[in-house]
Amino acid sequence: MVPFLLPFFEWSDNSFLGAWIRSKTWVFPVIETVHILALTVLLAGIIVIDLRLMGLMMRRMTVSGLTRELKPFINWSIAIILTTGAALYSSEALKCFDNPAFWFKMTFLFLALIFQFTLYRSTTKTEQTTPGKGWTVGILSLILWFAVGWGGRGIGFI
Amino acid sequence: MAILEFCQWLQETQVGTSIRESTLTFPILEGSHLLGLGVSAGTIAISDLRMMGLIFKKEKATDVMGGLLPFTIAGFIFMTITGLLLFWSEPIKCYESLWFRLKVLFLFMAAVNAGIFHLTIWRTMDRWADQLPPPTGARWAGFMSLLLWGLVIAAGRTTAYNI
Repeated sequence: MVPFLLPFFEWSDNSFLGAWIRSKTWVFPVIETVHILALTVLLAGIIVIDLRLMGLMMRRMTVSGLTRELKPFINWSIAIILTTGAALYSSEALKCFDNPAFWFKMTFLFLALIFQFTLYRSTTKTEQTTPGKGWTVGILSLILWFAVGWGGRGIGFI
Repeated sequence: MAILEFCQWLQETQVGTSIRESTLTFPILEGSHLLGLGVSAGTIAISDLRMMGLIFKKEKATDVMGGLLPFTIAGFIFMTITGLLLFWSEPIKCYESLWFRLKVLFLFMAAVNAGIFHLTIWRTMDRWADQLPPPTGARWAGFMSLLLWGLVIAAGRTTAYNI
């Protein structure tokens, strides 16, 4: 896909971490399970805030109040997902390099993270959001994160 | 054994065979089952944390859990449908898998936990909705639910590895 990055993928594949994960039957499934548990927490926080932005749930609470409570869970789960994800990647970096689902996932992950810490952050901080902005930001967030999830699941199937 | 015979019969049905042999149906079902976790287990986890008094402390437990419940139910129905279809496509593999059996056991335990909660402390929730920390029973029910659903997810994910 991006030829100039191939050396980095080769280096990852040859790394101590990647080789160690490959050498043990149990390590990959355990890391993958932690990755999935963190995904559940992240999606839960994102979906609840998105549905509230659209005015479809928890209307007794403000968007900013809801976000304040869920933000630690979202941020921690993103940190765990990125760490476990990097470990999983290192164990099969060269396989990922040739996998279109991996590049699909990384593209949307990049976009989702930028969105999450810019427009999403400012919108969910304010006390009052117009329904139009709420719907736009909510739907964009759902599309971006679900694209990441679908891409991730696709890596194993392709 | 009767269950094994049932699984063998189920595997050979037209629906089971068509899901198994289709290139796209199985991955789409599995992807949906995976991403449905956010709505089902995710909203359950937020409710559990509120029952334990660890999140949304300023909000009444009844408000938080009442707001989430329709989505928990919808997510649960979605997970049941996609899960049953996935099982339908490979019942023998599931029958033989230790991890799948553990998943069913944890699901059963989570259901018992939810049943006990609804028959006991849930009935008096109006009285403790803004009490912090919540009563011991509620904190235990939340903790057990969080633990058991985590184990359901872990066993479910491991089923796919054939180990």
